[in-house]
Amino acid sequence: MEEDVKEVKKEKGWGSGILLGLLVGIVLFVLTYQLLLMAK
Amino acid sequence: MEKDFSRRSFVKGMAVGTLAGYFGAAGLSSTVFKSQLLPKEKVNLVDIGQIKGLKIKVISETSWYDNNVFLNDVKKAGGLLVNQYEIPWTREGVKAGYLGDNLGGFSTYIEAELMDGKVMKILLDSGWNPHWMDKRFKEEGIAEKLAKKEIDFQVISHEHIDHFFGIESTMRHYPDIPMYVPKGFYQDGFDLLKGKSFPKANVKNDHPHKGKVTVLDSKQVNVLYPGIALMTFDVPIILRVFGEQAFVFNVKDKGIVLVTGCCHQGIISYMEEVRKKIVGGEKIYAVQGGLHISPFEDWDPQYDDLIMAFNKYGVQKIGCNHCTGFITAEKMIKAGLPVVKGTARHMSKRDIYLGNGDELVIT
Ligand SMILES: [Fe+2]
Ligand SMILES: [Fe+2]
Repeated sequence: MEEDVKEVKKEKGWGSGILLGLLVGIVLFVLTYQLLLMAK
Repeated sequence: MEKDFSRRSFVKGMAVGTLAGYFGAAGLSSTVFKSQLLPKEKVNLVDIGQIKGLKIKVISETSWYDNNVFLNDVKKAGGLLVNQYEIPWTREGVKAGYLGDNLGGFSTYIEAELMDGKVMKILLDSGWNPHWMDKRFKEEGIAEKLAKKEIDFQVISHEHIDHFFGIESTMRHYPDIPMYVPKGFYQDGFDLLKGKSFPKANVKNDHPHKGKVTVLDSKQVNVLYPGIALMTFDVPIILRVFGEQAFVFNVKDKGIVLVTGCCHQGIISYMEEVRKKIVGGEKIYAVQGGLHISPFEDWDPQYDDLIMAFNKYGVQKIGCNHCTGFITAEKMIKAGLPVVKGTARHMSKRDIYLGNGDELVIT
């Protein structure tokens, strides 16, 4: 029983991971976009 | 709390999030926010100035008389890519021709009144068959104006047979007339101008040109006088010709008037270029000359789109002839476009063209 609860609880982290990931992804895109513009 | 947090899940989530964020941003920026994000295209609109009024007279738009004979000449020589100076053009025994000769020619006379009242007199092109062109030049008073050096300059729209091979008809009267040719003119063309003959194509010029020749470039709008400009296009054209130029006039209170020879650059690209590069280009009042849509009277469904596209430009007068194609003119009339009718005289076949001797006056 205790193990099960632990398992479920361990799944925590997805949400904040995705949120931070989105942010990083967007920043990355903006950076490459700017780089491409500069290279033009 | 810390204990519940799975580092592995967090990293997985971040990987998914990063990918989604990156491609999501790429997707959105290339679609929804495209117009805000794309760097603005630099527009350097050229103000060509204005003229008071314009008179355009068709001297000859009957370039050749029998399409089949013409096409047969080309076919026998090897097709549409063969050098025009190497094709034996039929000059005898053509029933529909001028005294049996299949060749006619294209030439337009233009008077443009500058704002200070001075009238610029311009000859666009010199036709093909010298006998026919001599006759037309005489009938319309062009020969006299040339002899008196009243015509300010001649513009050759492009090197094609029907616009340029009749150069002798201009030169015999005014060999030092200033000339403008488009970039891409072949050495053969300059040689013909200087008096060389091409027996195979049955073309000669016994009156070498002695005046100034200016070659115009496609890099800029070439303003010749206030309100009078030429636009040159880098286009490869059939029968081994390269480059064509056409007029842009800006008539006060009316708008832009385009005068073309053959318009191998395409009438829509021509109008688009004018819009993009010239102040007032969004208001094209009139288009005159060859529109090169169905010169051999064949029809392709894509030409219908071309006619539809015409509506978008709000042109108020269309004086078409020559390589436009009768089918095109008919379809334009059917589509409600303002086609100016001619009088079908001097061997021009139908009144849906602005034909030989017909005038378009814009004031
Ligand atoms: Fe032509
Ligand atoms: Fe042409």
